[in-house]
Amino acid sequence: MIELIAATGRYGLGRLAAFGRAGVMLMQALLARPAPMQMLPLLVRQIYFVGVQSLIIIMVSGLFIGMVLGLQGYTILVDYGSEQAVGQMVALSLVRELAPVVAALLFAGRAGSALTAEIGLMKATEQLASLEMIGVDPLRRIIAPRFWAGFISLPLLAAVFAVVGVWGGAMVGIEWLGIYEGAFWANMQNSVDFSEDVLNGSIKAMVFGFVVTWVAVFQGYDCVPTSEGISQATTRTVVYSSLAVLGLDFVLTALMFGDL
Amino acid sequence: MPDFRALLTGVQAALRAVLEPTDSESQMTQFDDIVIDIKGLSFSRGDRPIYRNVDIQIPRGKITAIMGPSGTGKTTLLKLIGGQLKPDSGEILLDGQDIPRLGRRELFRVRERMGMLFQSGALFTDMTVFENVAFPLRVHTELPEEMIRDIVLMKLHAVGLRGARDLMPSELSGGMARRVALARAVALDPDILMYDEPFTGQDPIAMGVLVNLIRQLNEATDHTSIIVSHDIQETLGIADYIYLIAEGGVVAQGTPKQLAEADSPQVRQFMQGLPDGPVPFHFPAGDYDDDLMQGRKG
Repeated sequence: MIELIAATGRYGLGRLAAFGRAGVMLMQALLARPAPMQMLPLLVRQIYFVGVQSLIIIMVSGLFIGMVLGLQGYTILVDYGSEQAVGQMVALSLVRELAPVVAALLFAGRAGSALTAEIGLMKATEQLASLEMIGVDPLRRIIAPRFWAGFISLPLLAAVFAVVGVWGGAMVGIEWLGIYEGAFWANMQNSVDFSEDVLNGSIKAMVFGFVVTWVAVFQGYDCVPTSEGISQATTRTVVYSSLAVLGLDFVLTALMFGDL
Repeated sequence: MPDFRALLTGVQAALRAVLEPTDSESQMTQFDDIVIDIKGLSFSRGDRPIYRNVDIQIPRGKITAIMGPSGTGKTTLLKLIGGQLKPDSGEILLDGQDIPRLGRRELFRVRERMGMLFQSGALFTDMTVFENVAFPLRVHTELPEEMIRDIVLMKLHAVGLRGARDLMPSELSGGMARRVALARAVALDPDILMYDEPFTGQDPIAMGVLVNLIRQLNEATDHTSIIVSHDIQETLGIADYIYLIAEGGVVAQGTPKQLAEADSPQVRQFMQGLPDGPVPFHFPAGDYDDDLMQGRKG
């Protein structure tokens, strides 16, 4: 019994210590005085790897989710004779929830795991240590640009996701199921509010971008530098950031829409 | 009469030197210019002590080798000198500056004086050979591009790889990668050059090339070299002074000649590569016969 309590305590302490290390790493990476002329090319390069290369998966997933939403919405709403509301339903569920959340989950799987593996391999092959010995702070050179790239990319990817999703919903609803086009778009336009929906959705995407990238770079930076350690760290990135995204989504939704 | 007394002290001193070859008091004065002075260093990993109260002096402008069996913390010593690890206690003085007590920014400034050749080479895999060597120059100097090009080509020429400048690190053999890493380590002409196992995993030709390069670099520029290695013949050939490390401390030190002639069993086991001795061949285990018989009880 005592052993069980001790083990729980040790586990808790280990988690807390890791959380503390993650916080210190983030602070040092963000406070490291940015040298804009050096930082900019690195940042652009990382935005390309993290953001641009995730575009295909984000667009394809957005399209299918929008199409499914249109189809499901239609089959329910048509029973009540209100199939014109499909546009409203597709747009609201995408902008408020699905675009930030699903984009963040896909981002964690596509870009987060790649970031962890890349940084972990740099650690294992002593590239981080050799940067330090050359007199360059790896937090500034490696971690900071990757972190900012993720933070900037995810909200943009979520926006692309939402736009493509709405287009997919419209394609199914209007072209295929024959909803009246004017009603579809007008309903959508009337019900989607900029500050209530679009802004809140963007805030969610920013928070998720922050959390997913933070988890990813920390897991890479803190991993055990062996092949087993890197594979575990990559798995942890996907698991932790997915759980964090879903949990935070509930908290944010409660804060934003709880009193509606 | 005074002559006799002088003779006596001379004989006493000679006797002491012969009887106590590793006495640090008598060694202390033999370097007139010390660049790195390690005093009372203790360091442990988890519960396992790596160093217990160790003193090491690195003479300026010489090649000093740190030797010892694997797992005795030779690489750890380089990381301690480079400030990548912090000791539990003790001082590491680089020209009077205590490295473990430096702030982050000062530490990065001190590291500009050091170059390190990592065991794996540690080239940046996303850059060409040229860019790898140019990297320290671009970060720490504001030299114009033509001058950086000249310096990089000179360094690459010195290691014989000027023609490989456009290759990526993945296209290099192990020996070539280590030579590129060497060119990168000397790009800024550091005062102190640290080599972590430079000969491990090299074929005889690459090994000979590296030994010559290290010696030539040390003669051409007057930097201090610290070599961590367990390749006895190669290291004996180029080192000016050797520290032999085992069991958390310095077990022997001296010039290559002194160590080759030392008769301590520990030194002999290491220098001659004997399988059994003070460092046992067998991992601690119970009685062999008992162990075998236990399987029969079934």
